[in-house]
Amino acid sequence: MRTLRRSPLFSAVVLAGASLTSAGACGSTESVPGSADAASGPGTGADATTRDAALPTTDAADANEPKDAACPPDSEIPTPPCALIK
Amino acid sequence: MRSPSRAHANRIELPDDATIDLLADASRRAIAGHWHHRASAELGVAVAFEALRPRLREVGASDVVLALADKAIDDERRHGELCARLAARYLGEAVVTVPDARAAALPDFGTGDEPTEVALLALGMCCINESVASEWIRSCWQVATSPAAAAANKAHLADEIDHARLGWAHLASRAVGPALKKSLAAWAPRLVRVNVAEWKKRDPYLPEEGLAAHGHLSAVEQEEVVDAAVRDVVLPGLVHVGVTTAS
Repeated sequence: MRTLRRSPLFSAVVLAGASLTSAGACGSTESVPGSADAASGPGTGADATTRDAALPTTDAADANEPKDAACPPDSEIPTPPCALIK
Repeated sequence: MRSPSRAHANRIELPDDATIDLLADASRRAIAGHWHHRASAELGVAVAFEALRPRLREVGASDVVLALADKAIDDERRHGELCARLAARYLGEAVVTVPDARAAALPDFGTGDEPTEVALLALGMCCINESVASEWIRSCWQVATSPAAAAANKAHLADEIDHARLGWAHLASRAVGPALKKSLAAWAPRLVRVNVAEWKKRDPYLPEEGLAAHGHLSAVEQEEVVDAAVRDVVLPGLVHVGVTTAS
């Protein structure tokens, strides 16, 4: 089986996205970093330091889920229409 | 059905690709089926973003978020047309048939609170789904050696990254305060689960072993990519924007 590289997208997607509207962002489309840069090569867009930091797992996220939250069971949660583009 | 395809200002040109001609007929039909189905899905996503855009504005989303929504609408339309052209290329057909958009009504989460509904849509559609899509397409691009497949995946990836950013930008903005973030945190694990379940469904057109040279992962690899996207992007992203039960 081929070995797929770990995702370099945390910084390209999350950090870049959040920075658009967090403190200091100007709120203009001119401030949108070029996503094409993040897709310009298999090794670009990576921020190994950030990406490899201690990350929560799905289990950890579940463990933090409040048991009395006003959420319906999974079967009743509507799936966003974008949930499958393949 | 609309045929032939509409012209788009930012049309993505596909390079000549002799590797397509070398494929067995069954593989060409399988890949064409995938792209035709995907064209409908991409156009459906455009419809979803069209519905989301005014609701973002009504809840005070920032200008940059609205600009990204405008871009997403145009991008997804363009993707749909590109996917239809890819299907025609693999079938060896000169006429491109663009399918109708897949039904894409926005879900109602039943919270009764519009800022919460819109934030949940941004979380589900963008932070989770488009982040997973970005990782999935990045991986497809990584394995593709076919010039046309590589070009298509690269073009898609550049745009999908922006669609994911839309969600992270909205959740990081002043439009989503601490109380709303805490509400989102209660929903997030379940939204992740339902999205992951959808992403892990087998592609009905492609063989289980995939067709790597043309950018199609095996079923096993696809599951690994989805898990990696959640582990490396979505979950740390939620922490980064303060969508945690501690917020």
